[in-house]
Amino acid sequence: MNIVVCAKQVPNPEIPMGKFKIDAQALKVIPPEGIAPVISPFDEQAIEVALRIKEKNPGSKITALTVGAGSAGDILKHALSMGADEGIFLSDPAFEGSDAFGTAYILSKAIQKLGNVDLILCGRQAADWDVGQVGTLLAEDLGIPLITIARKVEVLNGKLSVERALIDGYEVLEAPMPSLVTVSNEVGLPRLPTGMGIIMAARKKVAVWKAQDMGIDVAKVGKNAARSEMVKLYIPVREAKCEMFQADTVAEATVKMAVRLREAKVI
Amino acid sequence: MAEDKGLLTIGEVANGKLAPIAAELLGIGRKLADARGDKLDMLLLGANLAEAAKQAIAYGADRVYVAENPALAEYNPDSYAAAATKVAKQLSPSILLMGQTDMGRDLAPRLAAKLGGAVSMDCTELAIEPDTKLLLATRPVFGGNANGVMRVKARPQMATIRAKSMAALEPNASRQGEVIKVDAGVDASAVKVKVTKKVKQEALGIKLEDAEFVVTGGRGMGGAEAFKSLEELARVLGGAVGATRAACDDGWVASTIQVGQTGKIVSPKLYIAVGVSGAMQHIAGCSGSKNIVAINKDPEANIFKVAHFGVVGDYKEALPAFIQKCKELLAT
Amino acid sequence: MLPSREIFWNIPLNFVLYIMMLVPLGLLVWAVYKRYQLWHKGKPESRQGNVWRRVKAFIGPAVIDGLLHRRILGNRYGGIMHILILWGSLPLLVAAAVDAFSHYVYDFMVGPTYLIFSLIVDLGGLAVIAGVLMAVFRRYVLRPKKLDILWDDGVVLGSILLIVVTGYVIEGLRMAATELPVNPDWSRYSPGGLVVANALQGFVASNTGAAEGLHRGLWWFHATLTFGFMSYVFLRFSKIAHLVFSPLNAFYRSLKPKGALTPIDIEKVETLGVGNIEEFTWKQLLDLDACTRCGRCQEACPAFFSGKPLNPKKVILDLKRAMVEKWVTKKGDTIGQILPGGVIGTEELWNCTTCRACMEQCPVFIEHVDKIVELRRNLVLMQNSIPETGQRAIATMMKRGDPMSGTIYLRTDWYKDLGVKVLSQDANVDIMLFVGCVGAMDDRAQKATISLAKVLKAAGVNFGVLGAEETCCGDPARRLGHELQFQAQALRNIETMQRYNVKKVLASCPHCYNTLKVEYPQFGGNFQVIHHTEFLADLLRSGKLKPSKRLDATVVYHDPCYLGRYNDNYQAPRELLAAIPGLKLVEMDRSGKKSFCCGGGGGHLWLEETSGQRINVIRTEQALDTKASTVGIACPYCLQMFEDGISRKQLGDKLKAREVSELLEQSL
Repeated sequence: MNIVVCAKQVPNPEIPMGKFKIDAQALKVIPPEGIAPVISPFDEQAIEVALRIKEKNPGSKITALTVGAGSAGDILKHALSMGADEGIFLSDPAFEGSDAFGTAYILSKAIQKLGNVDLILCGRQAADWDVGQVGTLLAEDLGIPLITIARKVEVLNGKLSVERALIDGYEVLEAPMPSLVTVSNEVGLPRLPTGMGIIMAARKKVAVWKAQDMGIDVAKVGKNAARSEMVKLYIPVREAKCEMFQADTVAEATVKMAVRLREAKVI
Repeated sequence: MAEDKGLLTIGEVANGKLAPIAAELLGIGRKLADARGDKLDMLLLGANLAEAAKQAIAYGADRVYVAENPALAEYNPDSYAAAATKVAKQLSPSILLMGQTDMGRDLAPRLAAKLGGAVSMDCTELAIEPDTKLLLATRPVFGGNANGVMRVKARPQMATIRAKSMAALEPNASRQGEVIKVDAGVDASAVKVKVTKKVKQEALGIKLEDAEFVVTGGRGMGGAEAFKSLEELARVLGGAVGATRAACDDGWVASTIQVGQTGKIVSPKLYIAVGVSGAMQHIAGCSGSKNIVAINKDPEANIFKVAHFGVVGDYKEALPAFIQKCKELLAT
Repeated sequence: MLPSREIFWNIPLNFVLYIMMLVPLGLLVWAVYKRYQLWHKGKPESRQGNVWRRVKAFIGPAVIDGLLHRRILGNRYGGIMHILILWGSLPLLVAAAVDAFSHYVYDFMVGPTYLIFSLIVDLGGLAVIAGVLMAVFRRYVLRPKKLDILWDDGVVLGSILLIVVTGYVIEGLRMAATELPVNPDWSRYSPGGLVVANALQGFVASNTGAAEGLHRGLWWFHATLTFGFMSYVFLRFSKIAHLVFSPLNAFYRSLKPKGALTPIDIEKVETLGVGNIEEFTWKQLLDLDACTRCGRCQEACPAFFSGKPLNPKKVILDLKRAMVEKWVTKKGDTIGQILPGGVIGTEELWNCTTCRACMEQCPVFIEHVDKIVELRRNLVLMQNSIPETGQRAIATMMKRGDPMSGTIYLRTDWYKDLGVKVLSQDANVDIMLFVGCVGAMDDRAQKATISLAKVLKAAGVNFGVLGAEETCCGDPARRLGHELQFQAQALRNIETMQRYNVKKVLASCPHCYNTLKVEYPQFGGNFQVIHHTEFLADLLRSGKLKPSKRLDATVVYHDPCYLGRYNDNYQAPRELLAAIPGLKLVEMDRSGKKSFCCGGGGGHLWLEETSGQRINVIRTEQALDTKASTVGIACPYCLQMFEDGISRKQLGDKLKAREVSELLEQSL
């Protein structure tokens, strides 16, 4: 089986509470000093799913793709050290500022160039802008079946069997191959890179594909092709102080608190 | 770009009745439609939709498009996408809204792709920009650390709304509106993915990390028995029960539900800490919660330093009243 | 007539004895050769180095620990028992050689020389009997938990006893026949033999022929038994073979710093850690043969003490069994089993806090911790098996450079209001403070770090920190078995420190301190690393630090493993505490070299204790038993563990945990 995993580099989502800073003018997030960007956790879990499938289907090949610039390709090394077989960095100045549609288009061209792909896995959403659409749009671009928010993915008799997480349970779906599946955190903790994996990854080279390598129409990518734009970015004001509720009895105080929680749309 | 042709919402139906999210969609939809001078439309897909259609009008819809087909009785991504695409193409709305539900988060991006629009997911506020009459969608980004306001340039301008973030209108049974049946035939060749099984899990079966509500007990609970009341509260809210390391180590509860530096890291919408002193190793596991409620006897407890809402008192007095009130509030 | 005796008095063909002796000697050579072959199935490891350095290093322990029993006497009963047997047997063995020399080469066994010699040998025999009886009493009557019972123990004790007792009977018979009638005053110098001789005098006098026959018979029996026993020892690799293996093991013991684990050469390796017995080095295999099953490691181990599956002695014996079954007996249930997760259970391996209490106690210098870490390396790096919380710590380290998953702090937060120099802005400092992740990002440990910074400022020290450029020293990763992540951390920190031309490093965490001091040199990072208690003690001595305010508290100091046992710093923290006016310093039973781990080392700050009692609670109670009001601490890990122990037992009103710097700051 040929499995493709699409991944993205994001600012470390484990930034401690209260340390999150933005540049409201530039509509950008300022990462705290000393904390490097990482692979988006859902994407890391997508790699985990690919590795589990490979374990059950020996001989499978896992190719990791990412779109980005500069050090964004570093996450491919992480994918390789976890056990992916190949990493391809899709990087071109023309890609900068692409929205979900542009990114999906770039990925679709890369996958078409790879050819003969049986399964494509993406994280359900990236832990930066939480858009959650690239996987879907990629499946549409490729014209292949799609299952979102998977908590378990298996290959049974040449077909995909996927458990899709629901708010109050899950459903089991069956799809032919090739298909695209977006992976949710319910699949569990991604494995640590293996020792030999880290060593092998250090020795492997990551290929870089540019727009022309994939026959990309640059009019369809980049900032100008984006279908939506951000007009404002802000940090919601949260009351720093704890709102204490008091009454004659503890019971009454909690009732007041419950009403307040409801008003604040917390419950 | 298609001509501006109004505001379409896609509702949801549960057991023949309009789902709460659909009422909320109509609530915000009404405001937006009025601001643009549009009619407010709702599309319902499924089987036996008559009653839900009536309800939709009562909640503010001007026109309800009803796509009835036994094949649509349960959500199937492909058949729903095909049916909804067909209707949406005919109506060609300027704005298309859905709920951020199991269905919405799956279907919305598919429709965006098929219709050529773009969607802002999981919005907590929607507004119409006065000058351009375009949709401004506010959505949490970076795990809720920030909010971004998006302006959608493509048509339709789509958004999904977070449940319970926008208010429904009071239903008015005397409101008038049109119910229009639409062709809901689905080309079988479009359906490639089959749903073979649906499993409902008890609310308590929700994994701690995924729960929107987490009720956690600490050493202050005094013993295993006391966790029963936490379970009840979790059930009422539809959440999960967590525990501090101390409570797990004392064997009151399974260690699988430990929240903290060496346990699970949770970031629910609401975290209720009962009898939890607030050791940092514990706070590390829950500091990402959007809201923290603390109930503790000790007014000096560290937990109040990170909590947003607090009551000082014994959990034995606090919990029963709190559970009762939550039940009442959630029933309305 | 000068006192002497006729060697081989009535024994004909006595030269046969020396022919017989060739058997055990041959077997000794054979055994060592066989074992040598076995050990060399392991991987190569250079323990030779400078031979003279090794010989010199050997003489100390050979005398102090081997002959004088310093380590062995750490356990009083066992130590005395062992000293009796060893020191008693030596004259007996020497006697045999001296007799032969005197008989065949030059007869000097006459006069006072003979009498004194005779006395020493005779008393030696008595000592052996006393020692063996003590051993029998302990092993079979007292039955302490640390001792298991194998039939080899019975054979060994029984044989030794029988050999010595028959020796006395032979001597008694000879004395009754040749000495008592003629030179009775010589016999005072053979008190053991005299007892027998007196008892047998009547029999010998009346049955001279039978007595001589009995003497001859017993003489040959004694000789056969002795050589037979020696042959058994080398044929069966009985525990008495430790007479050979233990000095050998001590000779080849590790001479590198105690806290330096062996690095993996990433460029060369094909597998990581130890999964199978042949992946150990020859020295690690020699270790297995050196074990005498004395159980001192087991007694010292905090994991075993708290009721967890780990038993360091059992780990060594299980590994030995795997070695023997694979290459010698070629049968047994360890064959085909992987070591980590098979022969040695994963839980046992994760129980170890790497506190080194076992190694400190081991009389034959076995390296338990190194083996456990090698096995963990295989678990983590080859089998991808690691407890979930440990996995999260390492995953966080990979991504963010620290193991503090879920912290609400940045590394730079604690010094925001203190005006601490950051090297990226001002590298003109005399010493760099390596803060460490816990000290920077745990809110309790932060307070101690802040106190340290204030104390340093009060003493006028020009110091700076790396700030956001500091990353985890790598200790948790290395001890959890993730050598690769450790090396990544080490290389990164070394590069950063070299970039700022750092020469002197002040470390407040003993884990960082140990890692920077003795492990970074493995990767070219040679800095002068000082623990803050050493540094502050210097300031105290030079008068730059003057604790003046009274602090009426009884403080019990807890020795952190990585400061005390690993780096032999026991005094500086005590000196600092003692300098605080009004402060009374008390000690726990297990302090200094015998300190009991807080439970946080070896990556355990990030692991859950899933069985037995909590180690930190045990240690907290030990501190409470001293009636101290405060535990004095010199390690952020220990601080966290004690705070946890105190809150678990709700002892907040009786016992406080305070870092040495915090107490000093209060006194300034």
